[in-house]
Amino acid sequence: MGRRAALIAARLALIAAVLLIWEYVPRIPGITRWAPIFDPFFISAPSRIAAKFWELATTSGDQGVVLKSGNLFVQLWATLWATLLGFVVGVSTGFVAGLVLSQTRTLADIFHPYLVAVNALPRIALVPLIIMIFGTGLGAKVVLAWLIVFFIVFFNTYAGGRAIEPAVLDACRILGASRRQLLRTVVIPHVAGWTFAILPLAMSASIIGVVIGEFVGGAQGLGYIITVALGQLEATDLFVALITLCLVAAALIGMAARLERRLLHWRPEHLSHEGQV
Amino acid sequence: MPRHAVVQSGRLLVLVAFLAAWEILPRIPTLRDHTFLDPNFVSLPSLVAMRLWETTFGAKAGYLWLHAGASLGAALVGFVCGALLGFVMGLALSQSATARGLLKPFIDAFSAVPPVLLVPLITLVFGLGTTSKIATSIYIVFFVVFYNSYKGGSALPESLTASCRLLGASRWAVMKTVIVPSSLAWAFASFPTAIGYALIGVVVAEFFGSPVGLGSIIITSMNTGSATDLMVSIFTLAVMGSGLVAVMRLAEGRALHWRPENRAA
Amino acid sequence: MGTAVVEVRDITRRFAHGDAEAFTALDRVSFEVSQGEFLAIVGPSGCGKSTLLNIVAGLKRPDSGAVLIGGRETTGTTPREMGYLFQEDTVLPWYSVERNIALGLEYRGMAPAEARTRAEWALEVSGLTEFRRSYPHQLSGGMRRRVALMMTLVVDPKILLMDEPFGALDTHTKTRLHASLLEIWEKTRQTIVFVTHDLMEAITLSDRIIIMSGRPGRVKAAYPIRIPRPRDVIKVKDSEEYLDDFREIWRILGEEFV
Repeated sequence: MGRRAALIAARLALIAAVLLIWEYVPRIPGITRWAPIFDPFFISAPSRIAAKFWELATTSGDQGVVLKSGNLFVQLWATLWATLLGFVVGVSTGFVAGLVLSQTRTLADIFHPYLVAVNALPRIALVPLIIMIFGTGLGAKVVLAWLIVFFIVFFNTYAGGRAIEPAVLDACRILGASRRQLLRTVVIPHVAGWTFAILPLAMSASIIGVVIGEFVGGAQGLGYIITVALGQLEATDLFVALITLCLVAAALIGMAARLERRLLHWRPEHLSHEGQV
Repeated sequence: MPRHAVVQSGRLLVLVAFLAAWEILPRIPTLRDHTFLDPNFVSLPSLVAMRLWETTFGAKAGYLWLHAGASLGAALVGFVCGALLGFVMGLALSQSATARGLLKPFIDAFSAVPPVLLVPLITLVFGLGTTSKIATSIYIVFFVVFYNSYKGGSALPESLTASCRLLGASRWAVMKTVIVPSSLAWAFASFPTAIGYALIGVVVAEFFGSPVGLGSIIITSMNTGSATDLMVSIFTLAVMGSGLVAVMRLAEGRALHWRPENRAA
Repeated sequence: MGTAVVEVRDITRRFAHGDAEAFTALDRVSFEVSQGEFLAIVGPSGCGKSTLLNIVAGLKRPDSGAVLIGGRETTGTTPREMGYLFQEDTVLPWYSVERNIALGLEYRGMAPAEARTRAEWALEVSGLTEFRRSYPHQLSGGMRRRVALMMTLVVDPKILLMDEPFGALDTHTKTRLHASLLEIWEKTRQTIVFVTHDLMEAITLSDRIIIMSGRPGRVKAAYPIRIPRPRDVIKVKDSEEYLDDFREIWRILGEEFV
C-alpha cells in the first residue's frame, strides 16, 4: 500500500516538475540565450493555456487571435464529424471488399502482388493529391479518412479471410452446412473477428487522415486551427487546439478499443493486437 | 488453361488495363470535364514516366535526388537516435519496476496519440528546418523501438532465466547473455516498421514548409497544381519507402539469422 | 457380425511434392467394416492413416480404388449419414457451447423443438450442461474436444470417422473422454472408424484393429480385440486379454521399427 502511494506521488511529482519547469524557467532573464527552446513565445506556458481554456469556456465574445470563443467547439465538431464518417464508411467498405476478395480465390491470387504494392504505399503521401482534386471541404476530408481507413481494414479483413482453417470448413460441411450457411456461420464471423481487431487502428487512421488533410489544406477543424496558429506563431492557441485534439483522439481510439473488446468477447485477450504506433 | 497461367495472365491484364485506363480516360473530354479524371488532377503515365526520367537521369537530374536525399537523411538520423533511445529505455523499464512504474504510464499516454498529430508542435518548438524533421523521426521511432525492446526484455519465459541461473550465471551474466540479446532481437525486429513510419513522419514535417524534401515538393506541386510532379514525388516516396523497409528487413534477417522466422527456404 | 456397411477396395493414393519424387501414400488398401463395429486403424506416423480416412469420407479422391457405403459407391463424396471428428479444433469460437453443439441440427434444418431436445441430450450425456452458455475460449482443451465430439454425435451419424481426435490431450483427459465415448456408443452403436497412433487407446476402445505399415501404406494385419463389453476404460488395462492383445500387436508393429 505504501509502495503504490509512493509511486502515484512520484508520478504526480513528475508532472508537477514538468509543469513548473515549463512555467517558470522561461521567466528566468536571459535564459533564451542559453536554451532557445525556453522562449515563451514559442512554447507558451501552462498558465496561459489554462487561462485560454477558461476564457473559451466562459466568455462569448470575440477574444482570441486564432481561437475565438465558441469557435473551439465548432472546429472540434468539424474534425470529429469527418473522422466518424470516414471511419464508418471506411470500415464497412473495407470489410465487404476484404471479405469478397478473400473468398474468390482466382481473383485474390491475381490481385495479390498489387495489393502488397498498394499496402506498401504510404497513404499519407496521397493527402495533397486528394486535396488538389477534391478541395478542402468535408467531402475531401471524408475521402482522405476513407482512403487510409479502407486499406487498413481491407488488408486485415482480406488476410483473415485467407486464413480460415480448412478443417473447420470441412467439419461444418460434413455437419450439413450449405454454402450460404457456411458463409453466415463460419466465414463471416471469422473474418469479422479480424476486422473488429483492427478497429482501434482504423479509428487512429481516420483521425490521422482528417487532421493531416486539415493541416495541408483545411478550412475548418482542429488541424486547420493548429496550422493557422503555427503560421501566426500563436503558441497558446496552438497548444489549446492541440491538447483538445489529443484528448479527442485518445477518447475516440479508446471508444474503438472498447467496441473491439465487446465485439470480440469470444476471443481470449492475448489474441488481440499488441502495442501500436 | 492451367491455373498458374490464368493467374499470371490475369495479373498482366490488370496492369495493362490500369495503365491504359489511366493514360486514355483522362483524355476523353466528357470525363475530363465532369470527373476528377483530368490530366491536371491525375496526370498521365506517359507524363509521369517522362518527368521521372527527366528528374533522375535526364535534363533536370539531381532535383529528385536532392529532395529524396534530404528526406531520407533526416529519417535515418532520427532513426538512429530514436532507436538507441527506445532500446535503452525499453530495456531499462523492463528490468526496473521503479522506473517502469514511474515512467511507463506517461509513455503509454503519449503513445495513445498518433505521432503525426504532434508535428505542428514539434515544428513550433524546433522551427521550420531539418531539426523538426529529425525530431519527428526520433519521436516516432522511439515509441516503436521502445515497446519492442520492452517486450523483449520482459516477455522472456521464467524458465529461460531460471535455467541460466541454475547453470551458475550471476545476475549480470544473465543480463548480458539472455536479457539484452532478447531485447535487442525484438528491437531489431521492429526496425523495418520504425523506419517506414519515420520516413512518413519526416514527409509530414516537410508539409509544413521545409525548403527541401519529398514532402516539400509534394506540397509545392499541390499548390502549383502540378499533378505530374505530384505523382512523381509520390512514386519516389513509395519506392524509397519500400526500398528502405526491404533493406532494413535484410539487415534484420542477417542480425537475427538464428531466429526460426528468418530461416527462409 | 453384420453386413459390411463400409467397404474400402484397393485404394491407392500417390503424392508428388513438386520436384520431389512421388511416393505412394496408400498402396491397394482394402478392408471392410461391419454394421455397429468399432474399428481402429493403427500405424506409425506418415503411413497414410489420415489420408485413408479422408478418402473414406470423400474429402479426398484416391488415384484408384473405390469406397462403398451400404453397397453404394461414394468415392469422392460425403454421404449424409457420415460424421467426421477432425484432429484440429473445429469448435467455432464465436458461438456458445450449446450453439456449437446444435450447429449440425441447425444446418440440417431440424425443427427447433426437436433440436432443443437433442441438444439437451448431448449436453447432459457429455457433462457440459453447466457450461452451455460458456464460450470455447473459457473451456479447457479436453472440454473443447468434448464439445467437438458432441457436435458430431448430435446429428446421429450412422458412420462416424475419427482422425486422432484425442491426440493432443494428456492421458488423464483422454481416459475420461474414452469413458464418455464408450458410454454414449454403447447406446447408439454406430459404426466407427477410429484412426490413432496410440495403441493403448485403440485396444481400449475397439472391436478390431487394422495395423498399417509405413510408406507405402499397406494393411499389414487385422487383429480382433477379445476384451468383452461393456468395458471399464481403467480396469480394462489390467485384464489378461488387454495385455495379450497389446503384446501381440506391439510385436507386429515392432517389425516396422527394423
